[in-house]
Amino acid sequence: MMTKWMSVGGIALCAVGCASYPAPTARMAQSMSSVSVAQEQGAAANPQANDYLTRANEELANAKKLVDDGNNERADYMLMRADADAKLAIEIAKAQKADVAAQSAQAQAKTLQQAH
Amino acid sequence: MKSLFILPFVCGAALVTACSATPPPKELVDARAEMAQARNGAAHQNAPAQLHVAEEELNLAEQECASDCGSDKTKDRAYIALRKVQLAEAESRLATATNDAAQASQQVQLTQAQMNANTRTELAQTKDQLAQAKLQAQQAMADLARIAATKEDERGLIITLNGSVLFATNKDVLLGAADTKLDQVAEALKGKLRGRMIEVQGYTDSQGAADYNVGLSQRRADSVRSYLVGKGVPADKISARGYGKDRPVADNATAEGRADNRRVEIVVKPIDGSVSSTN
Repeated sequence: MMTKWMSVGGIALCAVGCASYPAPTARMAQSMSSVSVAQEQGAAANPQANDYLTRANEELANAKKLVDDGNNERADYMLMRADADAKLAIEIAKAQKADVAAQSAQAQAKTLQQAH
Repeated sequence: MKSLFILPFVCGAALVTACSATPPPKELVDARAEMAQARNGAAHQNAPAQLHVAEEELNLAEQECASDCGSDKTKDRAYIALRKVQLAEAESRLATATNDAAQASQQVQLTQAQMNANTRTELAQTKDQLAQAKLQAQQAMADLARIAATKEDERGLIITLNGSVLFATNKDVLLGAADTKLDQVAEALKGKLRGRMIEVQGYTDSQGAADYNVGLSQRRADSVRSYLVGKGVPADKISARGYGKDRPVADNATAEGRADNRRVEIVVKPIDGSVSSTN
């Protein structure tokens, strides 16, 4: 009898827990913002960064679908992936620009030194 | 009833066995490898904070794997951990590039400053040299004015030496008495009239055949030129030409006028002046 009540309680707890996983609204906004920043940083113009940006967009779309299906927890994790991919795209785009700037400055320094 | 009581433990043990037997997902394997690489790379120095965040994420993935290696959560955590390690590496690359650019810019500024300083020094030196050259030229002019009659016209500075001081009648060999005056002229000219060309011009009076007078004046101009070159006036800067009876400076009808017309003029041309003929 006691075992029966424990099982019922466990199922009830699980049902409450599953149903109560909040919609990942904040995470959704965060991920969308990161994707937007990545686009502003020109990630699409950099092949490596664009790969991560594309993944982020796909994951964002998947997350929206999961939310629509009521699977908030999976959606939350999918959004974490999207955010991580978008942030990596941003950093790669920034690093690429910094590389170009550094190479340009180094070339200028070399030219000047040769002329000097 | 007893067997039913034991069943959960048997199932649990089977589950644990199954979990421990499940190999880590590719995401976790990749994240571990990337972390090992980052710990030994530049990210350890350049992006320690981000690398620490990645380590925490990898720990979460490992905990999920310890619970259920094949679960979506394990894969998700590992995937995110991998990206965070890569983010730390990208941050490190950004820091390195930014530092390189700053160093190069500093080098550019330093080199430009050195070049500007050198240019200013060279400019000052050039100004000094020009001022010195001008002073020397003025000194030379003053010296020449003391030695002989000088004037300036469109040809340049004209130093006039009377023919009777330099040559005997109808001769083109310099008199011994001419040496002193020509030595003074040579001293004034050499090294003090940088960049200026000199033409020794010979003239006669109007008596005698024109061709003869041109030939005599040419030979006399040549003699003076040779003497001056022998005294150190650069040969490539001085030429000679005989003009015969041309350009008289006095009346050929009088003996005094003819004496004045028999002369040698040393023309110091302006810097952009050219020599009409060279000997």
